Amino acid sequence: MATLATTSTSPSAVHEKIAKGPGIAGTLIFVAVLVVGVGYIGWNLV
Amino acid sequence: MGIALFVALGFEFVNGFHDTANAVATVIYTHSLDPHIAVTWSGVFNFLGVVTSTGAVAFGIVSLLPVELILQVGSGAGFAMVFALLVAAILWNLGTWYFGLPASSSHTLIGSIIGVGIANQLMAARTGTSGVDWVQAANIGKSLLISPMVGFLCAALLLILMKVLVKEKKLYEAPEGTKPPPFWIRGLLMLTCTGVSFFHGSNDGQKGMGLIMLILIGTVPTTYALNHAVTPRQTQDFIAVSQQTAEALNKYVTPAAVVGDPRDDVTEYIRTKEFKPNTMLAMRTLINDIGTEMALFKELAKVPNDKVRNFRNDMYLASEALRLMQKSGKPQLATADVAMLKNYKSHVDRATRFIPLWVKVAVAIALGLGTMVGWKRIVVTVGEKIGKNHLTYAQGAAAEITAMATIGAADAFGLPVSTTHVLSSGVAGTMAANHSGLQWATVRNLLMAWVLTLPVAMMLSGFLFWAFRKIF
Repeated sequence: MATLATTSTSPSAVHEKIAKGPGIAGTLIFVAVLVVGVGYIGWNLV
Repeated sequence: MGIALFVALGFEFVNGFHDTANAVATVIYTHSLDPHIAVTWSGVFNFLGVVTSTGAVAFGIVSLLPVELILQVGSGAGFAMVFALLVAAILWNLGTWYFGLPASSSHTLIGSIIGVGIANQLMAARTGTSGVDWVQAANIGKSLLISPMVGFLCAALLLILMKVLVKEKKLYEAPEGTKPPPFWIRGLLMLTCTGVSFFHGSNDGQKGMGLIMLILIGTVPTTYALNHAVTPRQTQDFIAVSQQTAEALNKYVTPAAVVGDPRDDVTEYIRTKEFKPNTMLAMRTLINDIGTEMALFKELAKVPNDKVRNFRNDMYLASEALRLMQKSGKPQLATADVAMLKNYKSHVDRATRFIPLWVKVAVAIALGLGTMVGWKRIVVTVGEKIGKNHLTYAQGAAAEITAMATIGAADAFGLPVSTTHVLSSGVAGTMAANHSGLQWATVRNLLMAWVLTLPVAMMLSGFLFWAFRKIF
């Protein structure tokens, strides 16, 4: 990840949380929203 | 149309990278919410904000575009405009996001619009820049001065006030491990995160919707140029109001005025904003023509396909000209006539300024998905690269309350402020008030990005418009 040329504050527990991926649940929500969204747009356009 | 819609939704997607970080940075860094839950939560309220929005901001953005390009939106020039705007805005937003710089998406879009306006003037070999809305550029200039000051001072004062009124020591210390703040301040942070997300959706989030409507009107005018949901009864009202309005305007027509093509005269008035002796006659003729045609068609859904585009353009011209007359106060009209014109404009706008639900849903989804993908870079900058110490619970609350109050005030009073600038400056203000110190390299980069946003977006979109005009 490109970052600003600055120092960050002391490492915190936030970093660990942020570094974690969205997990299976998060990925499923993302994919579901994407599929439903694209389907909904397509259905309205056709 | 597919490519144009993809690019327009791409603009909203990248917008999601940037703007929602304003809402979630403080709740994440104060451990009020888990990052992924905060981002999803913010996405949901952005979605609700967009879906419940009126579309007024979306059409406000459209009215800043060069009028002659709006009237020929289905042509090569119209598409060159839309693509230039969107691609320029996406490029600058992506670039600033890549470097973790929270820049204003609204400033980027308005800069792009001004750039297209200037390029269009130059390519049309017109002297001057009368077709460019310099008021918007001036508003951005004001915003560049006001937003950082409002954010910095208000958040700093709020933190100092909290220190005086609330003597809970742990509010002013960095969180221990992943410990969330006390219940009440956690609730306050979640409330402000929710509010900023919702208001962002209902205001900034809808700016791309106007451009999507332009794309749809340009490509499928029979479906999207006129609002088919207008009832026959509303149409009859519209016909009656058109006749009354044309008669009312009659008394303001200059005796020496000469009838030309009313569309050309009104277009010229919108472009130059100069009220000429012929303008009122042209307006009266245009309104009369619209009413006559409406009486002929009886319903908007029955307007013949080959007439839809011109009919919509006439309505757009009438609405924009009336808006300018009301705004400038020229010519001076009797109070009863002003009320009549407002009523007429509301009828015209009902027929032409509508956003189908599916467009709102599409924009909301693009914004939400963008947030879920690109939130980290901006959140990290706001949360830990502005100040030298970790954000405390009280600092997070002070900065976020300031951001939410600002976005609310900007909505209510039309203030030229940027939420992005206010929140980043708010965090800086709380750091200064807390004697935590600032990371000046970040502050310098932020200020540089904010100042450069307008000129870079202008140059990018101007160049792209010129290039796309060669292609389309």
